[in-house]
Amino acid sequence: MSEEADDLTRARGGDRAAFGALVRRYQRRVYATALHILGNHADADDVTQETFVRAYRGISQFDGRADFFTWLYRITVNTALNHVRSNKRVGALADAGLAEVEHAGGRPEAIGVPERTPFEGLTLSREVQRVLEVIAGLSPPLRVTLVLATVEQLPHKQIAEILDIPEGTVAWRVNEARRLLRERLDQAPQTTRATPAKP
Amino acid sequence: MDPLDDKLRAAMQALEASATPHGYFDGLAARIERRMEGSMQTDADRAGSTASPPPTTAADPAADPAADPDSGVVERTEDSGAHDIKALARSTRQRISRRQTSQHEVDDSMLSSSQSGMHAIALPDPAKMIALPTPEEARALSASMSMSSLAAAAEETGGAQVRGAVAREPVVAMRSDQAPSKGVPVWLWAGGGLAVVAAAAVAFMMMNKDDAEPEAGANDRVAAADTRGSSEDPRDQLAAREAEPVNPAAAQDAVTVTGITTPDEAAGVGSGSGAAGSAAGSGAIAEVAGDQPTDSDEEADADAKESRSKKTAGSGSGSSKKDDAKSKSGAGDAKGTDTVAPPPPDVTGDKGGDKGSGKGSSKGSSKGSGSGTGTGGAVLGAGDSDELGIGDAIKGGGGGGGDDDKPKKSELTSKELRAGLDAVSSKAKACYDGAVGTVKVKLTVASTGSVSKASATGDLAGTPAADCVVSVIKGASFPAWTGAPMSTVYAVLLSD
Repeated sequence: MSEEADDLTRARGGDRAAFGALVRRYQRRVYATALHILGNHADADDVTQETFVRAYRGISQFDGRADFFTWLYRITVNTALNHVRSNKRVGALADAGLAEVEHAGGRPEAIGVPERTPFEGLTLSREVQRVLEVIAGLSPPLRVTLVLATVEQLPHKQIAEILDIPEGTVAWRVNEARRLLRERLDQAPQTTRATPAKP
Repeated sequence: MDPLDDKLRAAMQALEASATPHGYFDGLAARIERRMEGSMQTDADRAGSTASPPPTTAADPAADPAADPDSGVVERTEDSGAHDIKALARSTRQRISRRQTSQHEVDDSMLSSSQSGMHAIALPDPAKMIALPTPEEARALSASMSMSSLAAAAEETGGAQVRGAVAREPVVAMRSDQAPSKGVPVWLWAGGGLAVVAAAAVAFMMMNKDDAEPEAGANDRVAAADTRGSSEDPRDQLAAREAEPVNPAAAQDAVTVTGITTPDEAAGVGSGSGAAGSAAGSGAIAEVAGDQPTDSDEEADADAKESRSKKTAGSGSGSSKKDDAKSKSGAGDAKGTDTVAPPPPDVTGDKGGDKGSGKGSSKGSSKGSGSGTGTGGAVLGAGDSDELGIGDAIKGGGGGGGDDDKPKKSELTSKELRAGLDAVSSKAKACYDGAVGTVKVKLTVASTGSVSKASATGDLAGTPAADCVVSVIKGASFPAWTGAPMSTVYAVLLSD
């Protein structure tokens, strides 16, 4: 029996030290995933802690059929999405009134990137900031799927398992997110380049 | 490898390096453990509060470990304010267990003496709460209030006054029933009864006097309540209503309230009190419409068909496609609002088609609320009665056929387009299924006013939510025009 399986077995039996070992093993990945989805440290920290608390509460229900980290990923993603909803991070779209009644000569193309910049104060290059802002402008389902597929480099099958959606939907979301990302990166002002981008 | 992916990963790595504080992971496990302990403690508190029997008093030391066993006073061991909340919860449980209430008993006499007391009697549901008096009680009440003399006096002046008195008898009876216990003099109740009878007499006289204005509210209501009559003269409808009980259920309801009215009189209650603006008339109408939804639907369909057939075979000059379309929509709306007491649909299809095809536009215009819009008013009555109320719904009823065969405008204004789309936006928002995003719907509106083509783009395109939004948008309707079809884009934000 591997060390992880041993810790898992003991943690399911209520051994907090064993669960602590699991925490230390996966805390970086969980935090990174939360940070990639949420885009800021405070929220990522909160989600990371909440993820492990939930995992500890529900570990007796973990049946071991799926990989432990897949199970942990699922908790992380769900907690992050709940966090997004509760904090109305994405609700800035609605608050800004960008998307509601854009019709009949309106500006539907104005829908998308929120004006708020969540990465202010960080020592990031403008190029990186621009990429992160565009990712933050994606809808949470697209953003999460893109992060899992591109940054975490998980296979579509595992993403489908984590998000509890069909693999076809995963593929569609990844393609759509990439398309939007390219489109918006081309549209966004590119101050770091020497030559202006194509209009 | 896609360069975009590389760019993404590089950006995320930069974010991690920049956002994560130095040494963050060193104490993370300990913080998580503390949070777990706090969470477990909270769970234990919850479990304890639900599993253990509720402490009934602060003097019960066993119930509260923080309580002082000697003094019986709860010792406050913390300053978070939780003890206040616990005390409040404890006292609330105590009150509930003793069936105590912090609100005073409602004084029934005050309620009955207010106008809302009359509503409570006139409206269907509260009326059912009023017990039917036994014959002995009825006789006693009648004797005490000298209702027989009142009724006789009213009968001399006309049948409507009798009905008015009968319609208000429950109010008087209830008041008289409570009067002795509250010390209110009987003569005051008798005076009130006389005032009510006098008001009914005045209303009846005003109704008779107003021969030159056939669109009075009572007539409208009677026309609405009549599910069969298609007579143009509201007076005829009133006579027809008085001659036969339209809806046994409504009549029964009225009988339940008054205790002594016959079905004929019950119909009279609806019409007579309608003139005085009482809620009794509206209640009767609601019953009539609500108890016969199927009939109404069938009649609506039949009327619509009749309207169409008359239009095609008719020789009049007022026939129009607009009328036909309105009649159809009227029938459809009546189907959709079965449970919400749809008003009678006969006015909708029958009058529109009938007058439009047979009698021309001049008469229809004089009867309706505006030239060519009389049918529209009736359609409103069929579809929106639940929101607008009976009175509003039938305001434009009884109108004749339109005098225009084709829409006059050459294009749809952006305001009309917006209004049509706004009408379905709430339904479109209901398509939200958890995936937040924007659905942009490209739609083409045909000159008939219907959406001929719609497709979704945007973040959620291709998802079931987007398909749902598209189907909703396809159901939008706009005023017809004569020009070319128009296209636009409508964006719907789906979020919780």
